Amino acid sequence: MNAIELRNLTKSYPLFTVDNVSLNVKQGYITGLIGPNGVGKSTLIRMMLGMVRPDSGSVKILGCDMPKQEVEIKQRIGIVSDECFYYEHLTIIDMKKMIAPFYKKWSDRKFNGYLEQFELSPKKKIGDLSKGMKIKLALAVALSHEAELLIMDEPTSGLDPVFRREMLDLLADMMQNERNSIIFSTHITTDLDRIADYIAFIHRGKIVFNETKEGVFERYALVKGDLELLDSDIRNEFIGIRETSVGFEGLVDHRHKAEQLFGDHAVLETPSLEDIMYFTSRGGYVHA
Amino acid sequence: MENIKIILSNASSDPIYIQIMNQIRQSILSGELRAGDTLPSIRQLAKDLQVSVITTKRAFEELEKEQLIDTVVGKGSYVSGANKNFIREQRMKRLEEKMLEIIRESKELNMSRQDVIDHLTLLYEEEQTT
Amino acid sequence: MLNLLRKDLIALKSSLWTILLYLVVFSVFFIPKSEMSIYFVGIYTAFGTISLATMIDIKNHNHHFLVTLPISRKHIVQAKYITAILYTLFGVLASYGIHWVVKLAIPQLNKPDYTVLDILIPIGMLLVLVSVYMPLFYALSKKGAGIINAVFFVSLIILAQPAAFLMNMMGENGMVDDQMILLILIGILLVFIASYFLTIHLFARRDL
Repeated sequence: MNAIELRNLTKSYPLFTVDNVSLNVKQGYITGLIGPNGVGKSTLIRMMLGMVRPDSGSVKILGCDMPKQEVEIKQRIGIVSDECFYYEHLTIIDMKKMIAPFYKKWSDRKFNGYLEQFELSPKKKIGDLSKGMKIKLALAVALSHEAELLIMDEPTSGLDPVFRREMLDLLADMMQNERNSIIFSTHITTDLDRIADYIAFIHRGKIVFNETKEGVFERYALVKGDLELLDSDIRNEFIGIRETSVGFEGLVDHRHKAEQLFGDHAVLETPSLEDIMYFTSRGGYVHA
Repeated sequence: MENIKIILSNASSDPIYIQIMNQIRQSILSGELRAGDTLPSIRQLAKDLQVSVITTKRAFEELEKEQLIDTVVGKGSYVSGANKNFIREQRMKRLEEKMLEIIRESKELNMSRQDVIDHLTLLYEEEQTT
Repeated sequence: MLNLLRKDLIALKSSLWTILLYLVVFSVFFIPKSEMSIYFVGIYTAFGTISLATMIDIKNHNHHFLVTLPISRKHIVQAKYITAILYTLFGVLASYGIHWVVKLAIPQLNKPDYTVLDILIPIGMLLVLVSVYMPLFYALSKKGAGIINAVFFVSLIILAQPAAFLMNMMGENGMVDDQMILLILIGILLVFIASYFLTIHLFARRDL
């Protein structure tokens, strides 16, 4: 079963177009959505949430259609974003009084538990909270009504490394129940290096890949070697190359072929997600 | 559930699922894990090791293929009793390797075969009493 | 629905003083000056409150918040129209109450006797204002909403005198009889309802 099904979504903006994008987010796993800023990541998330209406295509969440069954869907999902949309002049407890009645499965016990765990004082004004605390609050809210799907849009940008790890632990806790799913859009790929099961990479409004993180790391390779190894045919094998005076570094998406091609003459390494994003975005040659 | 030790290394060239497999297999062959012992769920293991659940799933699936573990849907995985012979063979092999090492080492110390046997008998009897 | 209303009222909680301030300031300004003060105080206070509520929404990226909750766009618009009616009633009735007290306490001001009409007419005018204001607010973006509020504010001030004059004239010339009033009220209700459906339609399609 898919937690999210996007089919043939198209949306045109002046600067770029989300072009016929289809994406499945599998239930029971954490899917990371990566891509440079401004190329469609946020737009996809907004289409999932019903904030943006696509020009064409369909969105299904937990088996229900958006926007027709929007209310049902939102009962079952939690949303965490780096934009704080709570009322700054209210206290946490006021916000809770506003939010809780909307949810059929709200648990005060759970919410208060999270407040304690995150060291958030209920009487504190939301405007007085730091960015990290605001995100913790959003997470507490999201986890207090038995959400089966967590949609997270840049939830860790601006957070200190200590809390980022704590948050990843919390997410792993949530995933102990295999009915739950998480989609996690971010440009801080190191978080996904650890925790993601599937990675979807969006670039220039298109999905470059959507597969298991393991599969990605097995398929892609970073090739490092002497400039002499390069000729125009070989250059074509690369998704992106960075050439310097002391050698080159390039990304290929077919490791075995590269192993055969270069043999012992070059070093092959496993790239990080950041490398993959960097070289795919730059493409062609990058002369340092 | 028994406490199994798994320690992953970023420096190792082996993919993570292989590291996990190796260490679980090691524990089974060395007798640390016995037939019938339960293993942690793939999700719990994924959380503890901070890796993807797909990785732990793959490791368990491969171990299942080797008939070292069994998985019951809804209940979890446990060490298989089915492959007792294979496990015994593997342990014998490792014991032999250790014995060969003893023999080599004793030769370097200029011990005779009888010396080795005597020493072994002494230690054996000490072991019996502890 | 109730939840949304509760939410709006909680959000407005901190602005309670501002609203009372409006009431006081408008009362102090208009009561001594104008015969039609009951209209001005009511309309300005009510519209000021509506305007304030929408500005709070914008300042807090309210729609981005609402989109995370299990509610539909239709509900959002419904709640907005209902609160607009509530604020209208508040403004007009508060104004009536104040004038009633003033009449008793300060008879020298020579305030005229008030009839049911003096309550119905400001309500009618406010409903018309809201009917124009809402679709504009929901059709336009954040920046547009700020401009709308400013435009309405300015127009209310400018149109106040001529409107008062017009109404006086109509009242005196006997142009308005009971049947006419009924028709006008029905017309206003229809406009209000049409505005409601228009806003729902506009908002349902819009990107937030």
